[in-house]
Amino acid sequence: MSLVWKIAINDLMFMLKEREAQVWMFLMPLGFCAFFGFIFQDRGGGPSKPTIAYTTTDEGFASLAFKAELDSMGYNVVDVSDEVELQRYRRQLHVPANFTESILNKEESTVVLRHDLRALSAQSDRVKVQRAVWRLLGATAVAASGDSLNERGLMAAVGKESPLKLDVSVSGVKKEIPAGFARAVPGNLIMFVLLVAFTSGAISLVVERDQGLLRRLASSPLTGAQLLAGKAFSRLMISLIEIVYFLVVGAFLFRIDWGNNLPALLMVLLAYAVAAAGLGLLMGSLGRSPDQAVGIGVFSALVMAALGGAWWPIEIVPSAIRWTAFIFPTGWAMDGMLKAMTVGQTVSALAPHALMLLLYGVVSIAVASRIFRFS
Amino acid sequence: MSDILRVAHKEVLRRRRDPFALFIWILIPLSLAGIFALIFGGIGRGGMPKASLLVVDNDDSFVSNLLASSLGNSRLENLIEPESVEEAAGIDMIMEGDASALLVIPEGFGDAYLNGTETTLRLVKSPMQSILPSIAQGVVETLLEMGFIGRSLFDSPIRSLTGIAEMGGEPTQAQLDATSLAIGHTFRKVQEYVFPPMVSLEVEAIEKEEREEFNFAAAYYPGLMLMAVLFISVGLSQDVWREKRHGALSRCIMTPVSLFSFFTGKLLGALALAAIVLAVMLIAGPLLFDLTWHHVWAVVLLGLAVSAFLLSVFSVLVLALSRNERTSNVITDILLMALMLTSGTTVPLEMMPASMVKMASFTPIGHVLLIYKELLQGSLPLGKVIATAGAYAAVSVAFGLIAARGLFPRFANR
Amino acid sequence: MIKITHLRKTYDSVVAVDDISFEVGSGEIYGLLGPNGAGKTTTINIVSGLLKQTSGSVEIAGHDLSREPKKAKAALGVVPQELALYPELSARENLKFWGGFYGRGGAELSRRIEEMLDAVGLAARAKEPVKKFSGGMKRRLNLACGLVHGPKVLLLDEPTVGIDLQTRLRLLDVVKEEARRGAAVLHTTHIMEEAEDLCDRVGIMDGGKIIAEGTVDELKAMLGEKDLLVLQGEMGDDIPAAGAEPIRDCEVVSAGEDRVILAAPRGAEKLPGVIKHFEGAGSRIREVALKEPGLETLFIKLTGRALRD
Repeated sequence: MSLVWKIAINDLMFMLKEREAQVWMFLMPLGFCAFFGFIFQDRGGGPSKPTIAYTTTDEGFASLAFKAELDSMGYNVVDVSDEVELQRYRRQLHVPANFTESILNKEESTVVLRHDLRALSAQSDRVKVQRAVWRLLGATAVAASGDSLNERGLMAAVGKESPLKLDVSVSGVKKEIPAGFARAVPGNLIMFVLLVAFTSGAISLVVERDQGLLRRLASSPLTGAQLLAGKAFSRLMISLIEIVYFLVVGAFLFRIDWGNNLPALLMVLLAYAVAAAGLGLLMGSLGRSPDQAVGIGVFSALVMAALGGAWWPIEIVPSAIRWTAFIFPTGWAMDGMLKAMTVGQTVSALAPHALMLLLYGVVSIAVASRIFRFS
Repeated sequence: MSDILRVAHKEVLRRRRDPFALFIWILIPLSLAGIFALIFGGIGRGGMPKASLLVVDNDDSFVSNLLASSLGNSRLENLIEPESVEEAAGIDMIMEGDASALLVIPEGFGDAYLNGTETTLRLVKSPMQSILPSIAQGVVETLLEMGFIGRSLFDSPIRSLTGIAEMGGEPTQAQLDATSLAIGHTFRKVQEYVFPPMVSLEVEAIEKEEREEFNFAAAYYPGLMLMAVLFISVGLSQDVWREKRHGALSRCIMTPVSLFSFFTGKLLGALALAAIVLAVMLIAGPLLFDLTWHHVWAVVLLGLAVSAFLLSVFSVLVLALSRNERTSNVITDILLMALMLTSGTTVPLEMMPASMVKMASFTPIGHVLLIYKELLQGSLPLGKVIATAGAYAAVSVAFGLIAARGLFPRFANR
Repeated sequence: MIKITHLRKTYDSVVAVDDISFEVGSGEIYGLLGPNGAGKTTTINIVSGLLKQTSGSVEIAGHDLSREPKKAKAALGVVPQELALYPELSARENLKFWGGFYGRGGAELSRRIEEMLDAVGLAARAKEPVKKFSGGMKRRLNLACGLVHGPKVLLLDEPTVGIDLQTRLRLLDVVKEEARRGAAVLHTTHIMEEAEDLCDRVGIMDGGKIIAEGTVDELKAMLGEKDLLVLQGEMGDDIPAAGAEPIRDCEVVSAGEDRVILAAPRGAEKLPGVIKHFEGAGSRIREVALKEPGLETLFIKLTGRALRD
């Protein structure tokens, strides 16, 4: 056992000493988490309301009522009349000049929402503005039915509170849907553990093979099994270091709440580390040169991360291919991690996830031991 | 000149003999494009996955049944998929992430609605999903609003009918006729406002010639194409270290060929390889995805210009800053990642906040990417294309000279 | 063809090459012999243009290397100690690439490439990428790349390091052939048998200086007909009873606590008596060597150290 440990520590030191490994383990994750956390933060409301520029020359009560409805939809409504100033706004509502008059005369009119069609919030904007239009029409109809379609009547109808309440909550322990960093950090954890295992873990093996070090080890009193165990163990340790790094940095820098269900979370992550270690060993056994090892490793890690749900919420993946996430260890790890963090599933509930991940690790190591070459 | 071309030819030959790196530089962006197509292509064609809304009807009244059935309205079928369940089973499904949200209609909902008294429905969203629960919430809120409006419009006739029911009696024919007249009267008063809606909403793009639908290919692919160019440019700028390791630089010094010619030849060879990668990506786009290139010459010109720029700048960085190959790898890795993240190649510009798009426009890749977006839409900002390509080419020549004349000989002799 | 005049190279306070001068004529093979760190490689690197000398001059085929580097290098062929080949390219492609820089092209270069491939025995594997070659094959190709353009001056820096005897002999045959064609060859090695076998003249280098120079026979004659007796062990401080038989007519080359080297004629006859003499005086001898006159024995005589110390 001490020989195995010796091999493992030696390998780990070798990997950790590499500047590139240090950059990919400790520096790049910060950049990625910050970037993706910022990109995917909740821009549909959150602490600051999205702004909509309201442009019209109509000063009638219908415009007032419409602005009130937009406000109730969560917008910060800004009156803009200057064309130049209007260009500063990525979300604009153009209301016709005779808006109020049209309503009073029961004439059709059209309001135009001009916004960035391809932005993430585009669909949400369309729904919210449409709702504001319907609410205005509803209030107009109510006021008209009471023969009080005037400013007072319409504003009263607009301001009337519905007795039909909707109490919205989020199930699970977090009581909020992960967004921004809460989404980005776990996903990047999954991706980087794999990247590190596949690159550093694989490259060092290829380099040792090229330098004849494995051959020397093979002729030592060490058995093949001990050597492979040592190699696997070192890769497990490097994966665990990366996981711990993410947990700590996530908590203190990105304020990630890893949940109260740490035993379950750690169980899933430990099993994932085993899977990553096994796969890293397998990559190292396959690669014929450091460049090949890096190329195959990076490619595989990116694909597994993407398809496993580490990059985007898995629910947006078409249901026909959603199952592919569970072909990869990343899918199991992401699912288990999110369930532990947000839903609060217990150790026993997540045991199948852990077992699957362990299976990945064991099978990878078994295959690697078959194809392992000392020279 | 012949020495330069000989070295350039050697570069291309080396990659032909060992195309693995080239293959990876193309494969990664193409694979990502394929994955994005699988996942986001459906969204682009209106195929965004629907929110799964579980409904627990604890009231089982006419009104609650009306609410539940309206969730299945054909107008909403693109947005939600309702399903009736028991509450406990529904909570389990939510927790598993098998449904987006659970709507619980409380007992007494129907009576409260008819009486105009307050009643609270519960919507429990799944924490396992990020986007779809909000869509479900929006739909439910809209339906409740419409229900409220209807209730408000026909308040009087509804009240009179519920009053009769509460007293335990049956409405007489006269009462029914009066109610019917009242409803009809109200309906006639308001129908012009709502049937059809008197105020309609039109949606327009804020930028000219922006397409209505989210076309994933147009959003993602140009960035991925430039990602391939970025990979190859950065990768090949590192090749000087490999030359050093092979002993080729030493041998070069011992031959009559000048280091300037050797390095210039390497740059030219690298540019030729970048052109090959660009060509492959250009061809693959329309073949594999829903993409049509306009003004291909402009796309190629800009792609080559930005590649030459990256090659020369990264070469200067590698030669000037790195004492050894490892440090060089670290520096280029960091810069590569920073460029990838900030320039719109990893995440499309369309998904970035405006501030980040602005930042991306200052990066060489982001700048070209913005022009690519215009080209994809069919417009040709000729002045911008020529000026950009010219500027990048000029900077490439300047940096290339710095590298070839000053930095490379020092590097080779180290 | 090679003229080195008062060549000096210093790194800070270290003098790597200390004022050496020699010439190599057309068709001559000049061997630069010396242990590791003697300054051989530095000398070759300067002559090949890789390093700049601190002072002194180097002339290649009549062109000063500092003032006319391009012309000088055009006449030069270098076989460096480290392999300098593109592993992705084939043998033929490597030769074509490097050969093309010397103003030769087309049919002439192609003919020369095929000649070289035949000469080094790689014709059958000419299309294969170099990364698939064995170490010996790479060495052969490395040599061929230095010769493909038919240089007037050839520099070889320990070209036979780490290869088998067969390959070594083949490489040396090629070098001899080039010399026969009129090339001036400067060959560095620390294998004295190689120098004795190949070189017309040898310069023995140590500590940056050339400590002896001449043909192999001339150098051997410096030793006289004396064998070297090398005794190693706990030898004591002094030579015991230096005037006594059997060591009276032995020349003391060097005497140290752990090694004594004596030069004497008919060394094989003298050796038993010498051993008995020292053991009788209390020395404990662990190792004994008898070396016949040769370059190594000359080196030991001149420096007090073995060539491979």
